[in-house]
Parts: sequence; C-alpha cells; structure tokens
Amino acid sequence: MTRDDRAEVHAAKAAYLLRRRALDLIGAALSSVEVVGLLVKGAGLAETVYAEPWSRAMSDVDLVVPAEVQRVCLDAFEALGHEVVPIPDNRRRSYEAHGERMVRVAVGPARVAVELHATLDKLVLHPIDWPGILARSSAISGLSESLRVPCVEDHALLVMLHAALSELRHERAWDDLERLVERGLDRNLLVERGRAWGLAPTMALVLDALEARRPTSAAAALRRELRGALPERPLARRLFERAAVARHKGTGLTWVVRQAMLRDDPLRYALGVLRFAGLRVADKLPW
Amino acid sequence: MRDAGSQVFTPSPKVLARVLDGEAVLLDLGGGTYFGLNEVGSTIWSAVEGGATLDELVATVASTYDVSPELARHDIATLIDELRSRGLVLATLR
Repeated sequence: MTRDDRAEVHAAKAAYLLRRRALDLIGAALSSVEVVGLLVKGAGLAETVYAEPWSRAMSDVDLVVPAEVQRVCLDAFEALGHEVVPIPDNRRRSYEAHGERMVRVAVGPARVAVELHATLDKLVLHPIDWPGILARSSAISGLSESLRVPCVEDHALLVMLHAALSELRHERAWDDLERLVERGLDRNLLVERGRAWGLAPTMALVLDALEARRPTSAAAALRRELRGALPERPLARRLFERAAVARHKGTGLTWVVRQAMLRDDPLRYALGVLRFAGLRVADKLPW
Repeated sequence: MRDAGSQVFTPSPKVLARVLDGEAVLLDLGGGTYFGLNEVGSTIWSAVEGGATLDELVATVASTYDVSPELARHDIATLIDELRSRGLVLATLR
C-alpha cells in the first residue's frame, strides 16, 4: 500500500468514526421517543454487508421512520441539540408530500447530515410494504436497538429503487447490489416482493444495467437467472442508459417520463404527477 | 516528560478513537484532523483509554513485544509527548 493509499484509508476510517458516533446519537434520539427507525442504503449497508464498513463512502445517513412519527422524531433531535433544517417557504407542500427532512446531527463541533425519510420513493409512491420491512428488519451490532436494517431482499429492492430514481447515476449502488447478492438473496422472495411493490420493471432495468457494467459479477448472474421472471422494457433501458451518461441531468419532465416507463400503474402515476404539480404551483402562491 | 511516573494519561474528550482493522484511528473533533497509529501505537492507545501511567504503558508494551523496557520507555514517551502536544491525550496527577 502506498503512502497515498494509506492516507486515503485513514481518512475513510476517520469519517467512519464520525458517522458511527452520529449513529449512536441518532439511536439516542429515537430511543428517547420510543421510535424504531430503518437505516437504509449507505449507513445501513456499511454496517451489514461491507466487511470494512469505512470503505462505503457516503454523503449522508438515510433513516426511514413512519410518517406519523416523523414530527416527534424531529422534535427529539432538536431537544438533544441537533439542527433540523427548515423547509424553504416556497417548497413547503411539495416537501411534505415527499416526507423528507434534513437533520444535522452535532458530533462535537462537527455535523453529520441525516436525511429523515417517511419513504425512499419519490413523486408517486410504489406500494412498498414499509411495516413489513420493519417487521423483517434486524438490529445492528453495537448500536441502539432503535436502529435497524432491512433484510437483504428488502434492502436490495430499495437499492434498486434508488438506482432507478437517480437514473443509474448512483455509482455506489453497483457495489451495494453486488455485496447484497453475495450475501445470498432468496430469489423467490426478491421477485415476489418486487412484483408486489410494483418494482419488477425497476428490477429488470437496474439488474440489466449492472450486468452491462459488471458482466462477471454475482449480481449479473442473478440477472441471468431472473430473465423471463421480470418484464423486459428495452426502450426504457435505452433511455435510462442515455440519461446515465448524459453530461446534464435533464429536466424534471424528462425524469417524469422516464420513470413512467417503469410503472405498472400508468393512470395512477399520471394522476399522482398532476397532484404533485398542483402542490408545486400551490407552493408558489403568496398565501 | 516531567513527573512521568505519577502522571496518568487519558484520551481527551474531544477525541473519537477506535481500533479498526488492527490500527487505532484518532479523530480530533476540535481540530478536524485525524491520525492513524500502527500496531504498537494502537496497543499504547488501548492502554491510554483505560488511563495509564508511563510505567504501566512501558510494562504493557514490553510484555507484548520483543523490546527492552528502556527502548520502549523512550518510544512511548515520544509518542505520548506528540499526542499531548496535539491535545489528544491529557495528563493528570495520580
């Protein structure tokens, strides 16, 4: 290992120390109001499927709590001296529809960004069984019982959803999925839940993309196993791959159209988009 | 190092530290800097976490590694001085 490599590992470990302390404080906040939260994506995966948790870089901690207790959790964070980032006045209704709030957890003078979600979904929600995910979740070694991680099948589906919502631009998703697959996913459960949550086209898209990027990986082998079990949407794949390498992210409208191609419920999706557009318009009104 | 025999060394409360993959990593929350300690340094840090005098640190290192107490004392004193100068370790009189 070169001196630069060593410095990089030390920096990653230092960031991990900070994050781990933040997780203790998050656990304390949730415990104080007797809420159990799900650590998802980076922070949850680092603690469960990465042999070296510091090697999973991330910019924030994603935490999911039921929508009905989100306010209580925000109050708990504030009571313990952490900062709840206010919603911009011109986005209030649309932010509340997404159920996503940002908290800056104070670790001494340092701050760790925590996204407090009611769901990981965007715009028009898939029928994801969050109570079921919580019921199947498990505690994390050395952390508060108030913090849990989804089982590997549920986590894989959430990572795939996030990869599709970020239009295949989230590079860490590929490592995450590979590690989840290597942990041994139950293929039947994965497909069954993916279908029930309306994510079968999303699964096909993301696993196709992963197979194209890492053809010899375990996740690529999973894609080949599931061929025929998931709907093929070649046009969607072509448009998503084009978006993934585009220099600019594109407009909200192109995002909405691409996401529509992954939906099993086009009418419900269209109505949901209209509703959200209405909220954005209402946000801009002066009353 | 003055009064070394009666001083107890403990981590500063502004330091986050943990042994990861065999090496201690120290993060100074005050200064925002971090440090990595090698295997011997990590052994010393683990002892410091429980509070230890220089004599106790020397005994720990000399019993763990093939090194004379004299050489161990010199190297440990150098490391502790460095950690103290950076505010990572506090010294109190026993």
